[in-house]
This record gives sequence, C-alpha cells and structure tokens, in this order.
Amino acid sequence: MPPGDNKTIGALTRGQGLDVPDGLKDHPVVENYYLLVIAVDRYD
Amino acid sequence: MPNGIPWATLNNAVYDAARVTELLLERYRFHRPDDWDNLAAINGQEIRQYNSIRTRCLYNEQATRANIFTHINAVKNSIGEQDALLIYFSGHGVSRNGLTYLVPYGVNQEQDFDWVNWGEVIARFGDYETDKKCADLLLVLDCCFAGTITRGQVFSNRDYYSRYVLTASGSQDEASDGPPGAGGPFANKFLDILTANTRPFASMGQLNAANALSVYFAMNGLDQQAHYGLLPNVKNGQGEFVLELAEQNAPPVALLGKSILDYLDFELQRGILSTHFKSRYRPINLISTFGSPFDAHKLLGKVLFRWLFDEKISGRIPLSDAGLRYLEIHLTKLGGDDIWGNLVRMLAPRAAIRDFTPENCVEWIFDQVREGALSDQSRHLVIHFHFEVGSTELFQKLEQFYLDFQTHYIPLFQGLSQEEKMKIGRVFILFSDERPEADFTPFSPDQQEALLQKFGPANLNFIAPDKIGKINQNHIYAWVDNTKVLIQTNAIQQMEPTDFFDPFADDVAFEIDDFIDKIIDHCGISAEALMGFLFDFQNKAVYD
Repeated sequence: MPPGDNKTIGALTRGQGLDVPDGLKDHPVVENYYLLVIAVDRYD
Repeated sequence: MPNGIPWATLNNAVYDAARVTELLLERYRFHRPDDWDNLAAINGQEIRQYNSIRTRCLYNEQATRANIFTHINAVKNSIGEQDALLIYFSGHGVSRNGLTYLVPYGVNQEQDFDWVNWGEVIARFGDYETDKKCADLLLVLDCCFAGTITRGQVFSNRDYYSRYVLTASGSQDEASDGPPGAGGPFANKFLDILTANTRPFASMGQLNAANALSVYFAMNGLDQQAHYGLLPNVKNGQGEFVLELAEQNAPPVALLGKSILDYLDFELQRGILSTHFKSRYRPINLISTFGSPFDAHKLLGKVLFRWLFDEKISGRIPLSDAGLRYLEIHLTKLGGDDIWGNLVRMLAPRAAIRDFTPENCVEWIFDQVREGALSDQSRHLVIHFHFEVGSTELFQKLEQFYLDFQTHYIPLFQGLSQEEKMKIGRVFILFSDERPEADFTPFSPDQQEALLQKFGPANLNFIAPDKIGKINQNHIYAWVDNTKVLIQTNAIQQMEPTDFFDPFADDVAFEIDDFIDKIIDHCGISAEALMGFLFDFQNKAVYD
C-alpha cells in the first residue's frame, strides 16, 4: 500500500494523541491478527 | 510412536505458551475465540487451548506435524492482504544441514522425516506480491539452535510486507527451559517486554526485544543469545510485524495532562498564588517567573491559570466560554527588548493599529477585554513575555513598560460603571526569565513593594511564584499514586515509580520538562499531543 493511503497507521492515529514512531506512520494498519501457538513439553 | 531415542520432557513449554497467549489476547488486538478446551492447569495458570482459525493453540498431543500443516494451510486460505500472522513455538528445536526444525509431538530423535522444517512453513507465505496473503509474518521461536534460521540471503523490496523472526537462541545455543514452575527465561522476559510496552503500535525492533532478552540471559548466567531480523531465503518487503495495543490500554492524553498539572508538585506554587492573589476584581495581574526553560514557565502558567479559573472554589475569576486570549512574545537580544514594538507586531494583524503609540495600543487591548464585558462574556487576555538574556537595562524597560501600560489602562478602567468593572476581562502580564542561573525574580520583594506603592495596590495582583524546582523521588511516588487513581488504563495501572528513575541512584532530580519527556516515553503518547494540551491556554475545555 503506498504511503499516504488512509489505511496507514499514521492516518488512523492522526489527531488522537498517540505516539507513533515515524518509521511506522506509513505502515498499513493490520486488519486481522492471526495467532498460532505451538508448544510441546511431552513427546510420549 | 516407533521405538527410538525419545526427546527429553521439558518443564515449561506449554505453561509459557499459555501465558504468552493470554497476554496477547488480553493486552493486544488479537482475536479471543469463544471456542477452547481447558487443559489441566499448570502452576495455577489456566491452560486454554483455543480453537479458531484466527487464534489456534496446538499443545502436546495436538501439536502433530499433520495438525500443524493442516492449520497453516487453513490460515493460508483464510488470511487476507492486510492481515498479520504470529507463530509462537516453544519446544525442542533442531538445526541440521543449515535447516531449522520444530520437533512436533509423537516423534522420536530418529524420525527426522517427521520433524517440521521451518522453511516449509515460511514457504507457504513466500510470495506475498503474487498471492497477497499475510502482509506480516513473525515467528517467535523459543527452542534450541533457532538462530540457524537467520542464516541465508535476505531479499527485500519496496512493498509493505514483512517476514521476521525472533529467536531465543543462536545457531549453536541451547535455549534454557527453566526449572519446573518458574517459566522459561525467554518467555519470562518476553512477557515482561510485552507487559511493559505502552506504545499503541510497536514492533519487536522498536521494543529492542532481542537486546533486552540477551541482556537478561547474560544477567542470569545463560549461554544463549536472542536474535531478531528478517527471515532469509524468502521475499521480504519494507514492513515489520506491528503489535497493536488493545484500545483500553492507551492512556488518554487529556487525563495524563491533568495529572501532570494537578499532581506534579505544584503545591508550593499554588500556596504562593493563594497568598499573592488578593482580589479577583483587580484589573491587572502581573506574574513573574524565573530560572528554568520556557516550557517549565508555560507549565507553571497553566497551573496558575487552572487555579485562578477553578470554578469549584469561590472567589476565583470566572472563565468565559470564549476562553483566554494568549499572546506569547519572545524578547530576543537583538532589538527584542523593544517591548512595545514586539507587542504591536503581535497585535497588528488583528488590530490594525495605526499611528502606533503605547496609548492606542492599550486602548485596543482595553476594548478587547471590554467587548467581552459588554456581551456579558468575560474575555481575559494573557500577554506572556519571555527572555533568556537578561540585563539591568531590560528589567528597567520591563518596569517602564508596565508603568506605561498601567498609566493608560487604569483611567480607562476607572471610567467603567461598577457593573462593567465586575464583568470586564482581566489582563495577565507574565514575565518569564529563562536564564538558568536566575535565582531571584526580576522583581525583588523591594521592587514589588515599590511597584505596588507606585501604581496603587488596588489595581494590581502581583504574583511571584518560587523558582520551579526539580522533580525528586517523592514527587514521582506521589504523582504515580495519584495518576493511578485518575486513569484506569492498564498502562497506567501497571506503572511503578521506579519505571522513571534508577532506584539505586543516590539522588534523583529531574528538570520538570525532562521528567515530562520520561512520561511521554513511558506512556507511549504523542509528545505533540501532550504538549498541545499542557500549553493550550486558549481553550476553555483544558481548564475543566
């Protein structure tokens, strides 16, 4: 997504008083987070 | 499982994974499913094995190679162009022939054909530019030899997507599992990092996670190093996996601003104000502050105005819906001590004062505050002079300015009816001496007395606050306590005084503006927004 698009973190947070580092302002906002957690402590 | 050398049982893998999962669901914008299986609690920690496409936990018997790839394939089908995937693994890891493997449930040490090559997992998300699936991928690997995965060539282009990895170990390191019940060192520190973060958006790079983890390992005598970086051998873009705090965790700027103004040790100044402020009916208020950076003077000014306009306390100055008019005038060395000239230049775009004289300038100001009176809306005017280069000559000019101002202003005020005198806006003139070495007010007590005698005390409140002091340990404890009562967000509730200073330091003394910088940094709020609130003198809402 090109910088300046209204779905960027910078555009989303503008005027809300949130601290967003410059490096993230042009980063697109994540729509959905997916999480996969795999853990094995027994291998029997 | 076929006969063979079994993998050693681990102490904390599922316990750690469950704790990380709960924190991500609670504190960050991951999806909490309605569907989960309760497994036996570990160390009092409830173990929920979530079962949805967006949040899936595969623990022990569920963590087979087949289940892992079945779920990853399902995610690949479901995940969208602007979605992000975090895969967290804790268990045994193997490095062989330059490849990095996850050891799934149900295999022994000989069954290398059933191990999960991370390269196979990553390959599912290997061509974002074509399939537009999963903008950001982050692997978090709490296992041995995980650093091997960082070896290889990194490809990067300009599009906004990313494939990153955070590992608990280098390519030659074993990762400590920790004693039973204590949690693994990686997970313990990773949880600390995620809990302490108050930035609404943050990447592992911005959280300095790998460095913080490695320092923690070294301090605990562990021979392992964390790594964070782009995954090699796969197309990468310019993005980075960004964690986003759930909304309720971010502190609101206005409340944080009020907590600074109300609780950051201005009691001494408010005490002085209550002594010096004689009457709200006096038309002119002269306020003289000294000895700190300009931001601190503005902060003190705001504290004083909040006190003066506090409608809950009788006898103060009422603030109109129109708020204040605030003029800031910087007196610089080069011609800046032409005080009237500066004031007129500030007023001219609004007032179009022609044939300037001090007298018609004061008349214009009088009309401004009287206009409010006529409409039954008091409108107060603040003229804030500040300078960082002082001299006897400048102080004489300031005194002369004030003499001229009052000479022209008071007769106009005296000509008003009693009703108008009650309603007319007040004039506040602030002189702020920014010289760091200044340890006395430009108007010494003798000078104050002389001024009051010269101009008539009935027309003037002369307010001389003490020098703005440094913030010490006790102030920070009090501020944190009070702020926790005022603001209920997680970030504030988890805040500790020692987040702001070294508890082993002999002496804690911050300039007030430096301490505010620490608050901004700690709370992850915008400096611009907080300063905008603290230094907004005009808007009535900021006094409420």
